[in-house]
Amino acid sequence: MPEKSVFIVDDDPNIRELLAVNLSAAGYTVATAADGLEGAEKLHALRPHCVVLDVMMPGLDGWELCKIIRDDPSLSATRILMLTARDRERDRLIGIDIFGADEYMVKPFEIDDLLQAVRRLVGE
Amino acid sequence: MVSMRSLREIFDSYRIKLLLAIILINLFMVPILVVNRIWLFHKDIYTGEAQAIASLSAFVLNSIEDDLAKNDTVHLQRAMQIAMRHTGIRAVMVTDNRGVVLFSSDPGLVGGTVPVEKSGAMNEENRMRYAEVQPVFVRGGRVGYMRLVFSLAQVRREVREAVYWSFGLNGAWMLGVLIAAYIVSGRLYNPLAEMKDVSQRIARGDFEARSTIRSHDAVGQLAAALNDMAAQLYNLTAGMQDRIGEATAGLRIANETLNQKMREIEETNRKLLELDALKSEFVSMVSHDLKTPLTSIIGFARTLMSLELPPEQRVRYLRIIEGEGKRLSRLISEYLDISKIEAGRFVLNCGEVSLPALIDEIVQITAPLHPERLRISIGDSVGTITADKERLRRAIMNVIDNALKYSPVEEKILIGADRVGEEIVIAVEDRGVGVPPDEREKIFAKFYRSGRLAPNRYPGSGLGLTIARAVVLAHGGSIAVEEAVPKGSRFIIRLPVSVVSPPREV
Repeated sequence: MPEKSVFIVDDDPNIRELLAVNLSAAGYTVATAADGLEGAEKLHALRPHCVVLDVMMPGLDGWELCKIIRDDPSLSATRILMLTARDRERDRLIGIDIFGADEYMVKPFEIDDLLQAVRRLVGE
Repeated sequence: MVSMRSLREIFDSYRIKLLLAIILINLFMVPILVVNRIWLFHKDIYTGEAQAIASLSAFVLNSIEDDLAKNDTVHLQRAMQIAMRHTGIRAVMVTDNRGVVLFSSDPGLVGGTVPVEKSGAMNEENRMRYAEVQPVFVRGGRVGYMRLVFSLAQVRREVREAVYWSFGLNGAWMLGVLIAAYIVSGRLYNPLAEMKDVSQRIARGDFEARSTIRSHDAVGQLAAALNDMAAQLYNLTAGMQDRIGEATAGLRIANETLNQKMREIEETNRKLLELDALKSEFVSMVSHDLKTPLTSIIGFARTLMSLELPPEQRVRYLRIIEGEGKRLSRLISEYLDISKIEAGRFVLNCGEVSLPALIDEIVQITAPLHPERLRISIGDSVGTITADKERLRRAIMNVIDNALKYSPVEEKILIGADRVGEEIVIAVEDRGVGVPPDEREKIFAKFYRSGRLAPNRYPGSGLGLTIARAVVLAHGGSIAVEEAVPKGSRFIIRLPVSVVSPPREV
């Protein structure tokens, strides 16, 4: 059974590193992008099982990238996990209902919670 | 056509009433006067006529008695004919004691019988005739009666003429009285009517109405009083108009002032709402700014505990934890500085600071993150200044961060310092998007962020330039931004070499 792939899009290099090392250790294939535009460019080649997406990024932000994924039929199988420091309920509802995100996590998050969430979305 | 109203007005007029009264009085008086006059005149006429008849009949009787005494019937006949020439006499006759006519001016009557007892109107049919009957005496004995018949037509005619004249004269008199009354009442009534009009105009509020009556009688005095009253009312209302005008002008000014205040309050309110929106955005930003390093710290600490990693990697992660901790610390002190600035408790901790060394330190901190982007040029005359080292470093770093944030990664940032007189001038120049003239003051305001996109980082706290300015001002210096050539912006910081005046309250 091929490994599940996770695509990390975050503008903070430390967070990218943190997510990458933990998801790799959990057995996922990991790719990263430093902002929304880079993420959008790499998406089609990667066709990841899951995208871990930061909301606040320069250029193309997380919501816009989320919408691009949901509007693309070839990426219909891709699950989306939004990461943000914004913890207001309104943002959560926007992320899930309007932009079609599957999961929503607020920074600072526990690594174990994040791993569980990814596992829930795409399996081992 | 005379309308009912004006007809009614005419009959309501005192003048017409007066004339109608005069006419009524005349209608009663004229007949009374005429009858009275006729009665007097009639009596006069008949008295005169009676005397004339009495003297005439005495003369004729005397002649008849004389002729009868002489028995001269021829003379008697002639005398009777002569008497007939008198215009009033219609017939003369002599009768015996029984009334049988013996002699007559009308021979056809001789032998007939006439009444002899008394004088008077002859009969009912012939009121115009009057018979005077006198006994005839000859030598002491009554021989018969003389009868003289007079015509009253003349008298009647005279009476009738007198009546006509009387009526005519009375009519003329009445007409004269009416004309005189008309004229006199006009002279009395017209001024009153004019004053009535004038007072009605005044009552309607036309205080410029004036009576033109200038007579010296009571009416003239009344008119003068009316004019005085109108003039006083006019002055009073004109004064009131002026005062109302003044009051209105005052109210208008007050209203404008009020509107101005309202606009100011609305503007203040709008600014407060804007500030409130900025503040909640700021809270959101602060939350984000603090949570990102916290995520790294907590996450890497957990990772180090749970994963077996090579020693180099472990050290790198520990350094990240340290760096993010410092970043957190720096963010927190920025927020604290802003709190102090807001609370007016921003106090400098001054000492001797070597500016070239300080700038070198800043470059050491910043350059590793942005290799090859900083170009430094420091003049030889730039030495030490009196300043709060930590705060000044933060101020200059914030300006450099701003330049890095708002210009493309491939563009250089030029940092220059020089001494101009008693001032150190530090310039930070970028080739970024630049600052439009209308934003050159606003960018130093709290939480203000340019509408233009920062190309390579998400927005910061919105406090960097605000803190920089507060620090520079506290040192007695100034900070401004201008357009750089060929593009971008240049921030100019001017600092006095030594603090000559106490730090300004910020």
